[in-house]
Amino acid sequence: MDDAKIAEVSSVAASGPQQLPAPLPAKSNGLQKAWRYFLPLAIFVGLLGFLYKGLSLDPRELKSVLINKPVPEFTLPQLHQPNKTLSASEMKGQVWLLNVWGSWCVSCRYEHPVLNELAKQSVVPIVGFSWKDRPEDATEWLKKFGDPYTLSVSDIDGRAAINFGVYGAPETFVIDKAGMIRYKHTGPIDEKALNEILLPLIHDLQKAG
Amino acid sequence: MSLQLKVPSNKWLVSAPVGRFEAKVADDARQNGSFNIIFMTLFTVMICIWSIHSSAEPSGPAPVVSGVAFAPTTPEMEARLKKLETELRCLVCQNQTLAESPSGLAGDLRREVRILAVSGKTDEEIKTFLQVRYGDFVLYKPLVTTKTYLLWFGPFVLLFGGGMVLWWFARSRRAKLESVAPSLSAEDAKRAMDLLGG
Repeated sequence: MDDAKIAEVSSVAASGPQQLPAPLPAKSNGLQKAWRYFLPLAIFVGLLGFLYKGLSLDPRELKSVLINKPVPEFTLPQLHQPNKTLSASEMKGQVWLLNVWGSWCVSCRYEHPVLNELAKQSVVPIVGFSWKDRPEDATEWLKKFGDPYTLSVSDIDGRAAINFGVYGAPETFVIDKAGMIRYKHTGPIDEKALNEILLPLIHDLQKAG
Repeated sequence: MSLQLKVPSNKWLVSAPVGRFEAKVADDARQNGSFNIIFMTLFTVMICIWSIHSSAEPSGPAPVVSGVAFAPTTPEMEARLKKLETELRCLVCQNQTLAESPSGLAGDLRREVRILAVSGKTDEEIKTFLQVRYGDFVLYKPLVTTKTYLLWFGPFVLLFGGGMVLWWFARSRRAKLESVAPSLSAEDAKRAMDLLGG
């Protein structure tokens, strides 16, 4: 571009703004004006609501589809006496907990003192479900950290756990007298979950027929 | 698990700084000879954060030798299993299919799918088997149910809404411009064309 052209362009640019007409007189009425402010605000508040809800949602926590369904039947070798077995049907007639755990599971160790405490109160039998673990590792672990389980079964290859829809450890199922799954706790049970959810539910189920 | 720390040479890092700040940090560190220490500290902190994060989740099970042996199958069966595994979700690594997930549970579920398929179950029966245990989420492609209407049709609603808003804005803007912009005289139009055409 030569200098003359640049000068011409810049003179046009300089004189440009003066040639533009005055800004538009506001044509919109009051209602339209209100919408202009209200709509973005409404969208923002809506978005805020979704985001707030999202804070308390854990995508890893999947609701069990087995709630209010009969407990899946299993017959598994007992951990401490592998020549003996335990079946889910043998637990019928009482409220019981099934706690899925593994010696390889870090969160299980976090949960363990709470289970030990619960076992001391002896309000409910806890069946330990040793998931995908070597029996010797599991027994060693229980010796080290205490054994809160009334009975322990060993699901070495993890096939029985599939029937329970287990996808991580620890997981705890609350099963009623009729052998129906009433609740599933995913992740480690802490004091709060025990006192506010599990114990009241267990008491209710024990009182019921 | 043992970690081998391989600290790259200073030259490599300093010659490719990411930004001005990093360059300054690298430069300062090189001058007082503490570059390696800073690098090592950052690396250690990263490893710590990573290990805390990984232990906070219910982790996948450790590999245990399976008691169920895999029977050799036909290539057709292998192809069918492969396809089926890509249509099922791993519940541990939730954005991966059973075919691609390295988790222990995915291995168990692949084995279960194989056992069911070899025993003569249809694809539908196998999917239902997993659905009644793990829920609809186990299907990698979400079902179209009242719960997933928003998921399936939400984007189209947004696209349509966005298009409407755009159209409405463009129309009112054009109306505004047409009402105020004086049309160019033939002389001005020629001048503009000359300027633009160059």
